[in-house]
Amino acid sequence: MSRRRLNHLLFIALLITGLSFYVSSFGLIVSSQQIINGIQKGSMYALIALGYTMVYGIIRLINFAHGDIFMIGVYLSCFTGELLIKRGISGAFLLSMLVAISGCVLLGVAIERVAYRPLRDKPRLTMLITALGVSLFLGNFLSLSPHQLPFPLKYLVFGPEFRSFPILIEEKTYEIWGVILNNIKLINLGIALLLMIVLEYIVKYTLLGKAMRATAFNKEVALLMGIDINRIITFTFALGAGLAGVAGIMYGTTYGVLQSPYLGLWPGIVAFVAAVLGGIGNIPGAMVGGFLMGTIETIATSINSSLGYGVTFLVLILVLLIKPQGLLGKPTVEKA
Amino acid sequence: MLKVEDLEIYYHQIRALTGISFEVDKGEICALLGANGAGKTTTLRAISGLLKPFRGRILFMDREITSLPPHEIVRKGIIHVPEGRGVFEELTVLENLELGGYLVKERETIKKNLSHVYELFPVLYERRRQLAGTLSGGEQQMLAIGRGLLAHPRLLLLDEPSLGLSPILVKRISQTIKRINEEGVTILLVEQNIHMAVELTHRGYLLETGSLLLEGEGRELLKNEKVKEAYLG
Ligand SMILES: Nc1ncnc2c1ncn2[C@@H]1O[C@H](COP(=O)(O)OP(=O)(O)OP(=O)(O)O)[C@@H](O)[C@H]1O
Ligand SMILES: [Mg+2]
Repeated sequence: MSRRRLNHLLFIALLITGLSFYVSSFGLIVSSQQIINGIQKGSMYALIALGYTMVYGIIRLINFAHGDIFMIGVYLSCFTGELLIKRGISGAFLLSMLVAISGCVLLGVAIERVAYRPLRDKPRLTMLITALGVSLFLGNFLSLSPHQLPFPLKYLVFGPEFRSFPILIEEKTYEIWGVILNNIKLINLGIALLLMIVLEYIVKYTLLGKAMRATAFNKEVALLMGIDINRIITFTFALGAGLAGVAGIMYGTTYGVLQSPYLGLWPGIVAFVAAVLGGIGNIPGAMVGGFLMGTIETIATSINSSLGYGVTFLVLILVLLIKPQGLLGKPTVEKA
Repeated sequence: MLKVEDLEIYYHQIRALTGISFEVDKGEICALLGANGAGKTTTLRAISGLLKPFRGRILFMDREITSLPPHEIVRKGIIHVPEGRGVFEELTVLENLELGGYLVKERETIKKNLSHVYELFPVLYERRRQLAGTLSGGEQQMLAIGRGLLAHPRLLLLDEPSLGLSPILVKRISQTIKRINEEGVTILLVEQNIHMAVELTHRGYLLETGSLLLEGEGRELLKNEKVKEAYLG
């Protein structure tokens, strides 16, 4: 058996052992509850992870600003929801989601245009550092307090304080065999799964999706096919950012509070780890990775509330040590 | 049909073409010959818009195309089949072909071109669901040419289609190129296999380290001392 196969098995064995320890020490009902919560949270991570992985696939960039795009999705859906509910307009959930998607798409595309495109022919590290800069800028700028800013700017920032997310859907809970489900989480999970199917369809079967894969594989030959790769790259950023927008409203409806404009940081990190776990650049990998990370984090947190953070990084370290190409990724020789 | 005037190309500091001029006439097969590193691929890359010339002009059907982006050049009917084939290995054969027709809007045209390509290369039909990376070198070359045909080219730029093929396959590819030409496609052929090039072409140019040395008729090129020097040492 090759070393690679061995590592793969080792990895899956690790996962299964961890899971069975958990189930045997906490009982079936508690475990199933946590696993269901984890899958639900994981669907949010998966949507964010897809953005990381698609952008990486097409321009080999870890878009650090992606977590912040997600954060803006949370805030946009929050503001829209508040406004619509105050005006008594129905359909607040769907409308807020649409606003979050459109805002994130515009922002994602704008960031690529302004910050990344001019650097495309430069060494890759240049773009990576720029992405870090964009991320820090968004988090810090939007956290400024409106009172301290001059006229036009004060309407652009979100401010550093807590906000509560409006109630867009009345919560209902159901109990099945001692496991508690709620409608919001189910709706979110359903939407996430639907979007993943749609995405898979686009990438696999449409000409645009084929052009995306071709561009990811070889830009120069893609150009010779008459593919305008700038448009394809824009489209990829738009897709990723739109999914992050949906993840944004999922976050709001699930947790109900917005801590600060830094809230994108942690989900961004977990989703990045999810993308690496699944194999960066691999779309089904990001989905699998997202669900796994959600489950792992939820279980770890249920054992000890601060364990979730550590475990996420532990997974990252283990993946990079044992199986750097991720669960579904192909092994590649990375060029510097 | 194609007119290249005083083309000068740099890769960073290195001058790869020193101002070459040549023409390709409608309906012909024209060869671009020269030793390794002479600048043949560079010339094709400039024509298809992958490289921006430092100086000089490229005209296609009396229109300047020098600074157009590659996809606009493809739209005009200039299709470049790159050196080393450049098939999308992680896509299926059929997907590769479909991408060849990326700019063709009419489904009917695509269908027609596709069945034409399958007729030229039946093996591509058998392998259509297979990943292109699993094809043999010769099959990949057929795919690369077939993919180029899907775009309905007026001018086909072929960069070393015989590279790495067995003599029998070289012969087959060569016959196919001839047939494509007879169907009305003008061809600019870059070849190391001088015998194949000379068999096929009406006319040819010889490049040496970035400058054009001479122009000649098919078989006459073979007798030329410079050509012998460049290819046979
Ligand atoms: N990307 C590049 N960067 C720097 N120099 C390059 C690059 N591509 C080609 N060159 C140089 O330009 C010159 C011409 O190269 P080109 O590929 O056009 O040659 P060629 O005639 O196609 O050769 P071959 O028959 O080996 O394919 C060579 O000296 C080569 O080293
Ligand atoms: Mg060459």
